Amino acid sequence: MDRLIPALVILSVTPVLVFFMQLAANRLIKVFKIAVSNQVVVLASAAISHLPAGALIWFVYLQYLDSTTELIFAALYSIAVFDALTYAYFHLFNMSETARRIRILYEIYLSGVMTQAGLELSYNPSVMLENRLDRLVAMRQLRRKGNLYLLDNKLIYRVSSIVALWGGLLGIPYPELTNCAAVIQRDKLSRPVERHDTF
Amino acid sequence: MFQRIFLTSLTVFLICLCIHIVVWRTRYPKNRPAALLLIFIVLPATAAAMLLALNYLYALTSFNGNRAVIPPVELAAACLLHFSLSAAYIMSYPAVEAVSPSLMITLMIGSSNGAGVTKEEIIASFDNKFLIEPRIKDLVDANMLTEVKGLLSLTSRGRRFVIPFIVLRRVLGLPVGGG
Repeated sequence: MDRLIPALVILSVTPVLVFFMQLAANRLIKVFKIAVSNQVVVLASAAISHLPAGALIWFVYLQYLDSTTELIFAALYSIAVFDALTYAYFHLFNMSETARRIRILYEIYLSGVMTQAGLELSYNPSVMLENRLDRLVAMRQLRRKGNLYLLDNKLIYRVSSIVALWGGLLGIPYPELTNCAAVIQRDKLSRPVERHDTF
Repeated sequence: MFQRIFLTSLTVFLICLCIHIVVWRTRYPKNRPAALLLIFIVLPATAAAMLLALNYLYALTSFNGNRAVIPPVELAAACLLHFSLSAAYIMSYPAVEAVSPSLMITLMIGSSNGAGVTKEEIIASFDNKFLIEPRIKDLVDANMLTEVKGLLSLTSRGRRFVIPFIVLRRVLGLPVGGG
């Protein structure tokens, strides 16, 4: 039982491991000039960090457990805590990468004061959307076919559906979603019917 | 022991989620980050502290003084799992509330039933009214930005909030995020 305390302390600081792994990966990427999305780097660092974190927990606590059932549940517990904290770190990093609010704060931090028009000039919505499309293609969530974007790997699409459902359950009003659906519907109706050859 | 820990923390987490849904549906809070912290962190931490106090009281008053309602180490392990899950939820909540454009793009393309969507259609469906203005309003509501005569500037709170992100990216050797 007493051995559990150091194991809990180690588990609670595991995101630091992911951070250092990401730091090392970024240095290597710079040296070898590899083109890879920053989000993929964090996810890969998190996946690799399971090994040192697991070894550390095994060494400190798991190896001393007698019962197999207890060992299985203790291992599951460690994985749950590690993954939840790593997921939180991923979102923290992701905020620095993609969050509009952080970008707005950053732009104003750099310039001191700014008008909304000036902000829109330096943080152009078209560029913002192009950045996102490029990231989604780099992460293989979307693919391009001519001038069309199609779903590739459906992971983010499924996550998006769950997020939209959850938002609905919380009763969050989504004016943006309604606007997008309306514009897409309008564009689809005005677009000439295309012939799709199927083989 | 770990079965009990799982059961305790998952039950507490589910209770917090239920409170969160009820509060959001009945009175959508103005300061959502503070409300989330209160529901997922402060309330369970207070409950855990009360349980710990109860443990000591029980140990003092019971004849076989070393038995506790719930062993403190077990309580600490249950708290760690609950706070980890809560941290994961709180960090992902902004994506639910602010309708991340990336999620919306995938939803739009997914709802085209394989026909695909052009870049122009995507750009046409988002404009500043939906991309920038609501986020500026959020930041003003959260007291991170002030707007005086059309000029936006950071408050000390906004400065304190953004600097750690700038430092994080500098330490990682990355340029500022594209947003």
